[in-house]
Amino acid sequence: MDATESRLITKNPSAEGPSLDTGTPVPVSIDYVDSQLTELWRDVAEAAQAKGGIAAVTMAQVLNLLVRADSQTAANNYTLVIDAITGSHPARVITMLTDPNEDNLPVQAWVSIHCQVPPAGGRQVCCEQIWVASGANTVRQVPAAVIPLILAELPVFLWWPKGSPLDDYLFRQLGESLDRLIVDSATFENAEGDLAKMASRLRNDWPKIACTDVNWERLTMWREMVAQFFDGAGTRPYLDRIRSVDIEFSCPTISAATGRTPVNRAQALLLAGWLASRLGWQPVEPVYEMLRADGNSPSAARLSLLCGGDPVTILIRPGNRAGAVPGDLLSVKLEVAGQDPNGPAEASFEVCMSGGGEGEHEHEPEYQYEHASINVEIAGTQPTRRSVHMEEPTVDMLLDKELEVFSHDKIYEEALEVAGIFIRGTGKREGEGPRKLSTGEPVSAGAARSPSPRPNKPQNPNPGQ
Amino acid sequence: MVALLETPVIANPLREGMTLERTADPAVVVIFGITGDLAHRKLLPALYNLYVGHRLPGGFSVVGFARRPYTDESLREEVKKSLEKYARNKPSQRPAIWESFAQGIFYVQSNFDDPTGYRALAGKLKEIDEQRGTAGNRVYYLSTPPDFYSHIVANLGRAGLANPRRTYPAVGEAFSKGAAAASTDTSWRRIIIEKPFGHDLSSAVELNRQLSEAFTEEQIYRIDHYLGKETVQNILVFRFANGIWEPIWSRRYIDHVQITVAESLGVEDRASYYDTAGALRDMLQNHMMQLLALVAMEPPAAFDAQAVRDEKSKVLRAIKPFTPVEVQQNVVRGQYGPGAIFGKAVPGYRQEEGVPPNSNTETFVATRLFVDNWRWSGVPFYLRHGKRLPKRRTEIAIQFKPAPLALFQHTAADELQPNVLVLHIQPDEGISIDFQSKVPGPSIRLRSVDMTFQYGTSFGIEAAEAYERLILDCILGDSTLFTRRDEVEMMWRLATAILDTWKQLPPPVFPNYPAGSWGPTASDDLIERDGRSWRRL
Repeated sequence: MDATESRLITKNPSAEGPSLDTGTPVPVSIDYVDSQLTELWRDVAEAAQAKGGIAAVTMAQVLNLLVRADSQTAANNYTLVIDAITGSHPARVITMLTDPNEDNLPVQAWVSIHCQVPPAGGRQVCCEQIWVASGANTVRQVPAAVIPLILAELPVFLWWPKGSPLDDYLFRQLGESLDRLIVDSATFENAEGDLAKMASRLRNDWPKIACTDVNWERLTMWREMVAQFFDGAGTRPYLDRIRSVDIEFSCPTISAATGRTPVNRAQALLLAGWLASRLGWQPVEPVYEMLRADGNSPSAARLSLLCGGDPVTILIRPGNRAGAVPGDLLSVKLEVAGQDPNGPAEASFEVCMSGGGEGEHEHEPEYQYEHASINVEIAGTQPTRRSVHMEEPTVDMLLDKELEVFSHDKIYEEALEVAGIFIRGTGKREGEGPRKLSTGEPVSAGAARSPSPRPNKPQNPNPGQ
Repeated sequence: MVALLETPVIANPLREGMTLERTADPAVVVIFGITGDLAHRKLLPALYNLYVGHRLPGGFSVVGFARRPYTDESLREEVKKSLEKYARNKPSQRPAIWESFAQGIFYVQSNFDDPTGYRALAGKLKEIDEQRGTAGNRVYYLSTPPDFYSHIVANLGRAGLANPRRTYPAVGEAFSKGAAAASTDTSWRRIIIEKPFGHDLSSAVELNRQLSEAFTEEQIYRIDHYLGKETVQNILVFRFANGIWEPIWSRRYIDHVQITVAESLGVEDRASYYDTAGALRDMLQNHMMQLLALVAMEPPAAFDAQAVRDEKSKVLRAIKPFTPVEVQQNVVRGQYGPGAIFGKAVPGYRQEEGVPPNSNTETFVATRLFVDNWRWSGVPFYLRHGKRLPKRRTEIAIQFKPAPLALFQHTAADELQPNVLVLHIQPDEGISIDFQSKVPGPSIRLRSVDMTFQYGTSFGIEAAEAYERLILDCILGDSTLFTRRDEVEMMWRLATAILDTWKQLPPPVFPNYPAGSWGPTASDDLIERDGRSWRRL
């Protein structure tokens, strides 16, 4: 399609406020992307002027957002997500698409501009969208195409929506250009192994990249709810006396192909890592034990820690209700032991997703909870129970939040590091000596692997130039 | 800042890195005048939005105190209806959350001056403490006509509801401040007072005195909802988090400052209040003086209630009250006559429903003030506010002095515009700066262009309502964004000097500007005789 054929259309005027779009993306060779975008900006400005005066469009970019897509369908889905948050984050978006069906597809680009009125109102703000497509055999040329397209002096985010990027060629080549990496550990094939690897490899190999995880963002409400229990003068002392934590996470249905239930404990481990890192709980061996389960049911896991000299146990167990993503938390309960450690708890604090009865939404992968019930029981007082709004955030809401942060998230990094210690079964870093394995289920494929070499410098795919 | 009576809570390590450093203690908000317009349009929606946003703790409760014959259940129904109408979050969107919130709403029916009502309130609060774990923590919100403030404050004191660690005399006995009892009770009581805080200096001093009989200054939160606006708080961030502005933020580089609060609305349904208040009391004495203080204050030593309010207070002290002669030279008042707004004919002020046909209440006020300190000596601050002006706009414009050398001498003089930095408070919240630029072409021609930052496009986040921020601050015990006793009294000292002079003068010739214009011509004269002009908005 020739650039002159591009036309301006108005999308979904009622759903998301008036938005401008330059229509079907225009194909263009990599070295003409910028000049093609200039043309499109002119089209947008003319259309905006016709609609609402010269000041109706803001031509400002605040960040570069690189996106990895492993299929055309995935790329289309990610574009819809990004379109939804254009109003909040005017950006240059570069989607790196590999088509698995076209091994030798030459690297090529398409461009378009999408504008939207921000949620708070005001002028239209616009995203420049560039798609860089390649085939399986040409993917090695993609970094050399993408790096020159990055806008100078603006932060560079890489959104890796599926799986772990650490062993991927594209990530290793782009690593030095990145400021932020956004992953989703709910999509990790081997959640524990990949988390452990992230905990050590990112810090060692890419210390400048501030990594985050949309699965961590899913925990924000949980962390706030848990923290809130201990804000008051009356309940604050209990925080130092917690002796057991019960974390229930969701499991999808048993896979027909393997007869096993895929398990993702990433959220539960990050929450446990957060509690331990903030409260100074020290892991004691065996740190991470798998508890035997019946049949094909997934196992529960037990973490052993010390708070001062007192033991703290964190039980991570699969629940019989489904969540929106694999491993979504269903409930968290913290208990404070009474005088008799074997007797009833002196106090308990619980956050529990609700919106249906126990088991009512079992195996409903799409079911979204609306609220949580907050239960507090303290010996000698009336138990309290209340409902709070706690909707499962959508991917665009999560990405929107992640794009607001430009620096390292110390709290996340510390939680991830402790989660890594849980998974590896030792506080020592990878490569620092023999691993002290936990008992039970094999810890992870990732943790057993030797550390990977430092990333290579980006290679020029066309050495002759 | 944490009130002196309160025991600081040990930091919660789980809060580290979170947006909110802590959530509030479980508390009861007692709203006096809960059946009124402010409560239903602003306060209850703010509380509900905070609740939905997880900003309020479990057990949080609301007690309405008013004269109408409601029950707990009927009040809940009324609140639900109002929230459906005015709140960002609607009960119907999340019925379970509403049910949870509604369980914490209670009602006490009483006249505001009836001691038995306060005894009933004390009983109800005790019951709520036991059932919902609110531990004696209270916010009293005075959302009644101001005539009732003194009755409510005195009765709260006498009923032992104001300060748990003081003893209160019986009616007619002298009050003893030294009777604080040693106690391990860590509960707190705070009181929020709506504007108008008095109607002149002596009534404001008297209200402060009455408040201090029952409450300490640390317990008193005088609300000015302008200070809850994001853009107003951003004045402090803009000035003190950026290194480039402070060096030029003085008489050396600034020519003058204009603060405009323009409203296109008339008095609407507030005629009975407005006619006794007028533009000076309603807007200039409080909101505009606060804006001026934020623009002119020195950098505070810390961002806390004490340090910020100390610096604002110093600015207000540096403005000398006008003498009667100075009032006539530096203050212009106006009242709108019939005219048109947005192409639609509107009546004059005296024709508005509820306004006496011979009313001499001002609906427009403009003034020229000086802050007599080293930073601002000789720099005029022009303030104007009016109703039924052509558009709604609140802004602070800082106009810089011209470049010292006219380098481009062959340029037409009228092309040279001064640099203006504008803090847009509402609408189109943001900041813009005008500067000179060369018009493309073979000759040197200059044109003023502007560089704009807009909240909407830069953040895309819907700002919380001012009341949400302020009520939460009060529950958290942070009074930085509330007005302190000395500030209120100094603002009234300035306003009262003007009001007293107006009383001595012959009645003004009103109306003196048509609705839909930028105010009386005397307002233009006020600034033009200094060789300056009002910004065209």
